[in-house]
Amino acid sequence: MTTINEYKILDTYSPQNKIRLSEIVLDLYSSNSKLMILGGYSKIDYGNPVNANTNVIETSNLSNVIDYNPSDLTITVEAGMKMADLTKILKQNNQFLGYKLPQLKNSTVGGAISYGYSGNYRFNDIHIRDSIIGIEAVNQEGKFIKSGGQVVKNVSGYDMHKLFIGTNGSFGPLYSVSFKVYPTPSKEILLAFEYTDLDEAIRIAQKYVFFNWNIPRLSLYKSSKENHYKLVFNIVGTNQIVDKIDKMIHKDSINKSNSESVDESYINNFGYDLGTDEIYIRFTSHKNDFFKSLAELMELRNIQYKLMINPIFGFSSIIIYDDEKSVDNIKKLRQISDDNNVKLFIERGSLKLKNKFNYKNNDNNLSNLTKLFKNTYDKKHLFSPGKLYDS
Amino acid sequence: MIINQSFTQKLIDIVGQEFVIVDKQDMIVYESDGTHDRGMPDYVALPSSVDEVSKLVMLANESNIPIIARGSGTGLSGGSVPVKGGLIISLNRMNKILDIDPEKGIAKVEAGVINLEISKKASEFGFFYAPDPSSQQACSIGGNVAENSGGPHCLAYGVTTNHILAIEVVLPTGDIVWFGDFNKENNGIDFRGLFIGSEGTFGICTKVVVKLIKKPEMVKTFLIAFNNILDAANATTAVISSGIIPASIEMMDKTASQAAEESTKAGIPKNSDTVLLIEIEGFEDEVTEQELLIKDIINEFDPIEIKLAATEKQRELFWKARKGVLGALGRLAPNYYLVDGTVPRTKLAPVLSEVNRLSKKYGLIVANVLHAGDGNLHPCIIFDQQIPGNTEKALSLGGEILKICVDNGGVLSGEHGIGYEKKEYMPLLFSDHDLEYMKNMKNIFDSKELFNPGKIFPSLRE
Repeated sequence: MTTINEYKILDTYSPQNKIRLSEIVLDLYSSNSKLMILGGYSKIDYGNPVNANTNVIETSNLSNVIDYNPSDLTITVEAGMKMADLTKILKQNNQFLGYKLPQLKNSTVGGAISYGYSGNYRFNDIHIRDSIIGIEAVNQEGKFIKSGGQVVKNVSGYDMHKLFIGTNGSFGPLYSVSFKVYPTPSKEILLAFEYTDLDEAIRIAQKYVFFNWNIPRLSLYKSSKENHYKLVFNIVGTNQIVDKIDKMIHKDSINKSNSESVDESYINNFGYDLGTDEIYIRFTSHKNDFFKSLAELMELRNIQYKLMINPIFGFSSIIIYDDEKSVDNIKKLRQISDDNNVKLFIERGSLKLKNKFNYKNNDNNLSNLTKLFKNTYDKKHLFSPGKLYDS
Repeated sequence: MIINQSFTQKLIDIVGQEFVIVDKQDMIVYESDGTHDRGMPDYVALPSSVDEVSKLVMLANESNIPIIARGSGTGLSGGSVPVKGGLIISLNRMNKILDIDPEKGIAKVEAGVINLEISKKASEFGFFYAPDPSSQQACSIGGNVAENSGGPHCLAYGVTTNHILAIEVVLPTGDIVWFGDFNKENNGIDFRGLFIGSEGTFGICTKVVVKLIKKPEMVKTFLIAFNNILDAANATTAVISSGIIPASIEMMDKTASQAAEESTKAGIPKNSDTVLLIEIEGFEDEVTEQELLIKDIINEFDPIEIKLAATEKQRELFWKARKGVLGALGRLAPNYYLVDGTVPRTKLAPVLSEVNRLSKKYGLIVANVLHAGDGNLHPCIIFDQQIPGNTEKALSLGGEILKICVDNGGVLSGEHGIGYEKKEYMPLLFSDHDLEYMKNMKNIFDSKELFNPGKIFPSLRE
């Protein structure tokens, strides 16, 4: 790779160890050189576009386990470790993170944190932001700073690690991360039911929304068949409880289960592996009244869309395609959302679409605070240029 | 500080005459929290709305007067003690549960609402609010946000920050802002997460949107007596290692459990050295399965007795013994100093041995009460402050215990916060760069350093 969003990659550095990482950051920062931190290059198209030529620090060589005692239910690893490898290490001890990340294969720990996405499978509503208990990062002077620790309960000083979650590397590179982990439930099954009546599907879904410990994912999506919706449950727990919930759901649903027809990676990656002409939009509602208005609009304007409803998290999302009418379509979607007292977020889109549809934060206080943070922790605005906001 | 009549009148103009306190006698209740730390405020104001809070903040800011937010004053780190005087903004009147949405499983409440009141109201819809500090009958949700409070049931459910979706905050400028939303995937900086646990040094939280949990179908509570504390610590690790996540695993050593027994008659065996309280919950089938597993595991550590609460009344009694233990320890001596370090749970046994050694070295009784499943120790140093030098001895012993926690991979505070009490120990855990990074964050929010001054940062860094 020689460019990012049409901007040149100037030089690429691959530190072999912690000290070298800090030296590189210090050298680049003191010579006023912009720098991106990249792990598996899996999220390069996420977030705001890079807006300058930049150096790249690759973290793939920083991929060791620093500390792991399974009995503590915590693990500390270097930030360049692949999430897939972390998952594998935990699995050897019958443990897991509690969530299934989208695009797991190439994602690194650092990248997953920098983008702060947890996907729609969350055991006990565990999000990546809940599972990070400590970090070590490199600041703009090349010095290491530490936040949190390797314990599951900690209120010692500010939670500075929260600054690194979802901010796209805008405050410098992470060196290490400590996670809280969970025992893997002894059994897991996938159930899926097909409906033509969205009302009925949502009614049944609502009944199971609060089974946090045993139903980490409950998703409803528009299937490829016209006016068909698929309701998918991941059920986990002891053998007895999984069987019990399985029976309860079958009793509630007269529709035939056909879990073999579910493509789990489609659900895992919905909204995360977008095509270059796709836009991902999230609504803060999972109510059918809202969807009826939405569906009417889609039909009226002949908009092709994919729909995923996540009742557990109280939101739903659609993917639409960019065309000559898309700006106008999104205006209409905003209108319907406002009418229903629902918030609309354009969360992801390919970078060429990003500026076209960028959702601006209207709250001046939040914008000002964001700028103050950037000006404080990245005085020269060299980390991840353009990613936090277009400066 | 000399009382400024004009400033007092402006406070009255904002909240009304009866909600401003300037009389020293009336302000005594505001000079302390649950610790021995003291500091007298210059003014106390009790606003009833976020707009009044905003006006108070703007007024104090213009006059360069320190601002200390206060909930119920149950904190255990000196966090709400006005060590540099100033204006206490007491949020007790902002105590309304504004909305409970059973479809989404959330509640919107004012910051002065008592923690337990949320669960009581939510129970009408079959829900509860999970973080349950021992002071939950008195502590406010705003205080919980400030300290990122925990509680016995945080082993399974997580601490306050895991249950707060959004907060309304009055910034030091007086601006009112919402941090967070209902989706955990933040776009940009997670100000919600940064604010929670910032101990009132970034601004004042005025409203909170909390996540509610559906009440479990079944709850079972064990009270297990052991011959020694090491067996109890190792049994805790064994239960967690087995793959079960109990709702809570609490531990009391001999001193603590015997005091609790005398106070509550919960049925703790007289010959026991250490007691574990283990609670499991969920569906009936699952709980029954876990009950058998836990019994098998515990039996490997030679327990004196395993009691399973047979009735809800007995379960409440077990918990009364645990949650009331600090009061019960008052029978042994008039004062206590509660330490709050956390260690990796596999380090519990060696750390407790060290605490025992230090107790002998200082000649002070230490009663150990622990959220054992989380590795969160509460060594309770019991002393009489009327005896000259005793307070200093207790503080010194507490400091040594914290150092041992840090040396064993632990931290200074698991759930009480640093506040005033532990700020001088911060260099044990954090480098100069770490502290500077934190200080910069403080300056972003509060460049005039008016919000809760004298907290978190060691004196040399203030």
